[in-house]
This record gives sequence, C-alpha cells and structure tokens, in this order.
Amino acid sequence: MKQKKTKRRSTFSEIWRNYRKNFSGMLGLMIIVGILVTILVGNFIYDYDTDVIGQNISERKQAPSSEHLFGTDEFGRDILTRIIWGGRYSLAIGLAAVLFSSIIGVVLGSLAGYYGGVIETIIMRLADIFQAIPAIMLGICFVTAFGQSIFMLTIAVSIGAIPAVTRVTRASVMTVKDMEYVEAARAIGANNFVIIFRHVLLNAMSPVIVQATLRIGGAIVGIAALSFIGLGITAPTPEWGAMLSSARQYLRGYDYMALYPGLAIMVTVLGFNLIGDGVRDSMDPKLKK
Amino acid sequence: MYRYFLKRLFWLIPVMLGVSIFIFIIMDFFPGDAADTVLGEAASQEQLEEYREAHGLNDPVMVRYVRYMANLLKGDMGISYVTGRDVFKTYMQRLPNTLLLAFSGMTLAILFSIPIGIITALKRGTVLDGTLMIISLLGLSMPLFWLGLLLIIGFSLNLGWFPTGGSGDLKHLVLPAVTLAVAKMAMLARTTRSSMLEVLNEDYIRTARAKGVSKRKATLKHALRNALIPIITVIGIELGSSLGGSVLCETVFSWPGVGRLIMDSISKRDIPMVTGSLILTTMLVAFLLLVVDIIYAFVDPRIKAQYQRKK
Repeated sequence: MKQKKTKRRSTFSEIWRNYRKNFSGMLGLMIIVGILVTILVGNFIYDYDTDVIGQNISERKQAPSSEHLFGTDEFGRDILTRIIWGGRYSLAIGLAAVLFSSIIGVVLGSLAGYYGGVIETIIMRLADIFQAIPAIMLGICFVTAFGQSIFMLTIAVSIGAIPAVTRVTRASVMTVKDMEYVEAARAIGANNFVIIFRHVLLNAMSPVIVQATLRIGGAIVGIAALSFIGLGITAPTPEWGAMLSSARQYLRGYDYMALYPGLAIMVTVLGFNLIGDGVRDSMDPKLKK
Repeated sequence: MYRYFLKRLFWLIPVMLGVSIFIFIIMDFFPGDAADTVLGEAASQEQLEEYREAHGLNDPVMVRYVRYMANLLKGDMGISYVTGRDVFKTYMQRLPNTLLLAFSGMTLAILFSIPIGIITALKRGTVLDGTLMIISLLGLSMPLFWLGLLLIIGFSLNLGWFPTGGSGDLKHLVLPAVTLAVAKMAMLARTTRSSMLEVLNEDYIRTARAKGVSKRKATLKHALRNALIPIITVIGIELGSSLGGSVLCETVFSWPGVGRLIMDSISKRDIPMVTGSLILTTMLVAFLLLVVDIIYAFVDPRIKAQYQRKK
C-alpha cells in the first residue's frame, strides 16, 4: 500500500506535483507565505520598545481610522502593529509544538511498533493514561507547575498530542515492519537502529506527516487559548490570545479591539488547515474525493 | 461481547491509577502549598513549618499519594483549602452545569450538521456544497473563545437579546451552547459528508436503488446507517472534549461549571480541589468514551460479530 521509494527526491517531487494541482492547498500555502512575509517585514519597520509595547496615552481607544487601520488599544498602541508583531509567537510556538510532539511521538511509536512485547505494552499504556486527561487541562497544569516560559508553553501545547502521534506511528510502523525490504535489511546484517530509521520509518512516515500538518492549526489555537485564560504569554507582549483577553474588558463600546486579533488567529489557522487538507490529498491519492 | 466490555471497564482501573499518580506528581510542582494558601502571606516561617508538619505536607510525595488514595477509596476526596468545603460535593454541584452546556451544544451541533453533511454529500460539487463546506472550514478554524466574544458583541451588547454571561434561565444557555455547537458542527458536518460519500458509492446502495427503493429511503436508511460509525466516533470524542475542555467556553461566558471551578482552584492554588476535579473529570471522559464503544456494537452488527469471534 505504500509506494516503494527508490529515490526519495522523486517521491517528494511527486507529492509536490500533486499538491500544486490542489487549489485550496495552494490557497492555504499562499495565506501562510503572506503571513510570514508580513511578519518578516514588520520586524524591520516596527521597533518593539516604541511601536509594539510603547504606550501612547493621548491616542488610546481610537476606533479604526486611516491612521490606525485596526484602531488603538487601551494604552494607545496600534492594534495592527501588535497583531503583526504577535504573529511570530503564534507561528513559532505552534510549529515548534507540532515538531516536538511529532518527534517524541514518532520515537515512542516506532519503538512500540517495531519491538512489540513489553516495550510496546509500557509505551501504549502510558499513552492511554496521558490520553485520558483532557489536553487543555494537561496544558494548564503543566504551565502552572513549571512556569510560563516560551519553552514550557511549547511543551504544554504539544504534550496532549503525543499519545495520538504515538498511536498513528505505531500502527503505520506495524504495517511496514514485515515488508520484504525490512527483512532483506535484517538479512544483510543492518542493526536495529538503521532498520527502524532508514527502512521502516521513512516508509511509514506519510500518515504521520499528514497528521502533523493537520495539527498545526490546533496548536496555534492552543497557545492562543492558554494566553486567553492568562496562563500563556502575558502582557505587554502582543500575543493574539493575550490581546483578546485584555480586549474582553472593553467589549462594550470598543468591540473592534476584540475583532482583529481573533481574525488573525482564524486566517492563520485556516491557512494551515487548507495546507493540511492539501498535503493529505496529495500524499494519499486514495483519500482524495 | 460482554466479556470484552468488562475487560475494557476493568482496564479503566489501572488507567485511572496512572492518571491519579501523574496528577499528584504535577501538583507537587505547583508553586506554593496548603500552608501558604491557608495561613496567607502574613504567616511567619515557623507557623508555616508547623502547619506543614501537622498536616503531613513534609512527607515524600508517594507517602502523601498513598494517604490520598486510601482516603479516596473511603469516598473522601478531602476538603478545599480555600472554602473548607468537601471537594466531591463542590464538584458535583458544578457538574450539572457543565453537562447541561455540553449536551445542549452537542444536540444543536447534531441537529444541524448531520443534515448539512447529508445534503452536501448528495449535492457534491455544486455551489451549495462548496459554500457549506467553506463555511464549515471557517467554523473549524475559528477559535471558540473568539466566537464567544463575537456572539457577546453581536447578540448581547448590540441587540440585547441575551445576557453576556452567568447562568440562570434558558436565555443564559443560548450563547454558550451556540458557541460550543459551532466548532463541533463544522467537524461533524465534514465527517458526515465524507462518510456518506464513501457509503453512497457502495454496491448495496445501487442494489437497493435497482430493486426500487426510493432515493430518499436509500439515502436515509441504507446509506446513513452504514455511514454512522465515524459520525458516532466524532460525536463521542467531541462530547468528551467539551466536558474536558469546557474551561474556555465557561470562562468567556462566566458559566459556573467544572471548567471554571478547576481554573479558579488553580489560580488560588487550591490543590485538593484541583486534584479531585481533574481525577473526576478524567474519569467521566474515559467512561464516556467507553459508552461510545458500546454504542458501536449496537449500531454496527459487523463489529458485534467481530467481538464475538474474538471472545
């Protein structure tokens, strides 16, 4: 069922060829590239201390105008500037969280799937336990216990996803590990490490990659949600969820403050969801509708 | 089959033990402890130390865990550091609110999304299908707490139809339930659509149509029934996530459910309350997922047969 890979490069260029034909996938890619470029440009035109967190009380709570497209917040800071600056936290933490949960999940899942026996039992039972605790509760407790540094936030957002990655990897590895080429590798005396990472994992990766892409949006919402309830990135840093959290107090009369940060989250998540759907369709043509 | 379910039920015991150990360990890392919470900031170092000694807080974490579990088996989850009230009773007082919110949100989602899923599957490739699928993709990408804020801005502050938060009569329930429903709706409609699409191409649907079953009946009876398994799975998972993840919706609308209880207790470092609530919520979600598994067997005879063969 998995395509045999003689040359890795050709597989990826084949996926890209499929992907390019996928309209919504390309739209998603364009959205995300656009956001990345905006963040990058914003990095050069805005100064963190004066434009992003510098207060300007004389211009506070101004409705959107040609001067301040998205209006200003309760400290007179331009909301558009803060949204553009804040994008880096959402994207960086979202991507890092997915990377982290994927790495841990893939290592555990392939150990469980390849070795079976006691190792599998231990890993999968631990996965059962961690999956039973609601992900957001796990994140909240983790941050409360270990602090709100960016590193801990990344782990808090990703920790809930690890059991799912472990499961997917294990299932995929189990279908691959009895293939003839794995047996051949074993016959010529390759060690287990080489077999797992070269022969088994590379061929078992596609469901894992698809799942990881689809999870990026969720991770971005996760970090925004933690900030929204006050446990993520805190003021004055302009994280989108944190901006929504402070806008809550001014809903009456200044509703525009709560509008744009949420819109930014939605567009970003939409972009990643479109990419995820596109990657799924182009990696597994069977699933294409 | 019953043996299988009993096995699953017994399996919950070690899982819950593991969950409780994990929760206990992570609570141990929480900044501050009972002595700080109960005695307040004015207390001297000696007073704090005295309190810790008297209540066994200086014992190693495993000793405290065993003590906690021994009490738990006697039905005692301890008392809150902050209010001094029984943890289990406080949780049970809040639980109906969370259940009400989760079930009404889910009911709303099911009522709208399954028909939408069926229609879009039947009208695949049309403008209607495209529009509804774009809307559902937007719904899926929208953070729940932002949607809640938008609904408050629109329907409470501008139109004044519903209160901005709190609980009481039916009016208080509308906005939080709709908020919860929208995200679930998007997910469910997409699942229903793809599951229906898969089934509609099956031979038995063509057979049914060929022998003269009306299109309506073939769709609703033959196809929907077979497409139900993934739909039920998603309903179960989403219901579980709205019980466990109710924090956000409850925070936005000041809804007095268990999510808020846990959040408040965490910010006040009320460790017995947090520990107890987390264990109870996890248990509830795990039990719910087990029920979903049992429902499968009733819906799908193929699964029942599988279990019987396995014994």
